Amino acid sequence: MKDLLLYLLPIVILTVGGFTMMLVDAFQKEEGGLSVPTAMLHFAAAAAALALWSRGGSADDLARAQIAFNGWLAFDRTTLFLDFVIALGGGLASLLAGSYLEEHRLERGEFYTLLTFASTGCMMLAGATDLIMVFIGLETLSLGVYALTGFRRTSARSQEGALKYFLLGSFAAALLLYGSALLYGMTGHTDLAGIREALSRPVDGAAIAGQEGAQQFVAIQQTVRDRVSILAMVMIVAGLAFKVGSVPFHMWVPDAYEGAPTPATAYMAVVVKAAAFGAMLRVLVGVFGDPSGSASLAGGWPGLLAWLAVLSMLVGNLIALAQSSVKRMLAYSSISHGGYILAAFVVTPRAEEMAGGGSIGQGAAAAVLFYLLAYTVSNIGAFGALIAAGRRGKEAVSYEDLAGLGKRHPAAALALSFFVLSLAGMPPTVGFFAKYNVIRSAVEAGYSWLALAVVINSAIGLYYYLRVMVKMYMTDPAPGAVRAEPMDSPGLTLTLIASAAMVLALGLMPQRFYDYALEAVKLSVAPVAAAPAAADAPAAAPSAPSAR
Amino acid sequence: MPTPTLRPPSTTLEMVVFVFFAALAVLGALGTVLSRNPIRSAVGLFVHIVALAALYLNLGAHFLGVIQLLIYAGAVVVLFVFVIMLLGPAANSPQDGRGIGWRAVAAAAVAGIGGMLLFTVRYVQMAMPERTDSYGTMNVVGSFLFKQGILPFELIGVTLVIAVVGAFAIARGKHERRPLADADPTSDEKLAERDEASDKKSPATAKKAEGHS
Repeated sequence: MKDLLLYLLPIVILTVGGFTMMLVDAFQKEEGGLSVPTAMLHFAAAAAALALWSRGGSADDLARAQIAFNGWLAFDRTTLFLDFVIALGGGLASLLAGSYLEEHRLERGEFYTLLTFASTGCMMLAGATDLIMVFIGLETLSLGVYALTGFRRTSARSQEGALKYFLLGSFAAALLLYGSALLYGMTGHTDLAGIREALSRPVDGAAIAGQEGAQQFVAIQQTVRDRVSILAMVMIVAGLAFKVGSVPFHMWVPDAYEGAPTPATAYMAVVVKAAAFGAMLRVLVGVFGDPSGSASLAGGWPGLLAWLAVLSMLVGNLIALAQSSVKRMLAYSSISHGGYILAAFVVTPRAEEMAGGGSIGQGAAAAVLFYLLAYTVSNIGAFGALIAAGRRGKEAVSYEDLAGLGKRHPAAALALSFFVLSLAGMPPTVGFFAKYNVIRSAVEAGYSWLALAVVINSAIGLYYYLRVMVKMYMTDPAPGAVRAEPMDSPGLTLTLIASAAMVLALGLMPQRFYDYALEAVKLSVAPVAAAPAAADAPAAAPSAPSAR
Repeated sequence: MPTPTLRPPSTTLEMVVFVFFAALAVLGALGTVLSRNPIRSAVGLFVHIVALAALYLNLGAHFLGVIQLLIYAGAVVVLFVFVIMLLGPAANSPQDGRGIGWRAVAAAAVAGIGGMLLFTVRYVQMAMPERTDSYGTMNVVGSFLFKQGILPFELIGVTLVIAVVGAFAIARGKHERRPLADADPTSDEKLAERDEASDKKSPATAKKAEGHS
């Protein structure tokens, strides 16, 4: 039992650290100075995730860990991978916050407490194998992020973004809850494996066998259950798609991203997204599974996600073209990046090769994880460079503000160009390989039209990403225009260098990190890309949650 | 029909209690939606909630019944009343001017939801946990929360804390933070700016004042 508790370590580090920071903040005389401790906490959690990863343990051990905690959270490699991404993103975002909040006179200790607890919620969500846990995690991170969005209380824009995010987010959470309640009503289970098992069994008519109209009754039951499980699936997809901001649930994204303090925007863009995509992976594949194997009709979710993916890519990119604010452009581009990730999702449950171990589906799930890692380092860097390009009263907001930055402050301009190139998917950077993996798995699975959509949209995206560089290097500012003045701060520089190093390292050794992602998917207790019965997941919890 | 697992009232006394509180719940709900005065609506809601709690108790779900009273009657309705009182006359809604069309839509919606509920109760076999004598009692719920459910139970603590910290962060951010030197009225700079400063000639402030001019 003692070493089973170890699996909780990343969550425990963040929780205890968060409470400690609340106390420190309450008793210290001057505000501020919590940025580095917060980052350290996150990096410690990331190190704990890495240590648990390299500690290994067989699939049996992991399954035992899950049973010990009654199947609320999965402590498998997928969780550890996501925990690492979450902790890394959170740590880098809090380093950014240290520079940004001080420069913009927003330094208040609550920011870091909120950030830390939101990361805790993200980890709960990423590991959740029970709908109750999914909801708790989702609410924890959402409440934190709503408050972070509205942190700049004196700015009307920040308030507008926070209010929109809060109202729409509550609605989305209610949808998710409704879907979960329907599933519970039909199956009597809240744990994913139990729901899956109950849904794949035909309706049991034994109790009334022989009575008059029994067959009819059972037939009605079956129909009702199939229909209602579709409804529940749509509601759960909608609730989670809201959190990742995919079209048509994207209305809040530009306002919230623009209104939030930039480090909070970076946090929302990477960490929240990683957690929500992780939950999606587990819930959709884990409950509704592959379209052919499951008795329920709700296995049709890949088709639904394909629509969301194409819409997100197209709408996100097209609106991003028309933006004059760089921050809004990055917001819309993050919508389209969500679309690319969803494109890989569509492939995860490939039906016909499910029986054979599901290597294509696993490849797609690994592509999702790899994309999340790649996107985290590139996006933190991009927002960090945007912070670096402006100081209080002279922020870099619009493209015009960036005009001539290449001459005035080559370092900031270089950083912004580098990360924007990674977001655009240029070869030496990691962005290229993230997209390449998505396209490859789509083609392998026979979804060439989806692959084509990704390629076309990457080309559209290239236009507005390059526009940033054109502005910085090839235009001069209009006379008298307010220009952004770059700021300088050791924490910011450190973050930018670290992100750039990771973007390059991931880009130069993509296969290595992709293999890690693949291992994460393969050594997963809860069915991620393979049905519970699949050959390489023998421990996949036929017994785990039934204890409840 | 498969037997519903939440058993129907078995004794006469249980039946009497059920009928009484069920009727009360319906009356309370009607009072909530039909009353024009918001306070009366709130009272109707209160009656409805208390009647529901009694029904839960009647079914043996003690914990749910108590929680229903504590949270809904004790906190939610009281909050409603507070808001109504704070709003004062503004809380009274003006005469509803919507025509027959909207009323028809509303009636159709009510009929639809009612039909769905009827259908569900009549035909849909819900997967319900086995009902035992102890199901839903304090004892069982408590031991579930602290044994099987300990992980989410503890982690919900984080959810509650983050909500409080978030509210605090937003409320406190109302005024932009000023540097500490600005805020502190006894700082050297502040003292130097004041005409009536008694120790204007003190070396520290004199130096500062020179520097400023």
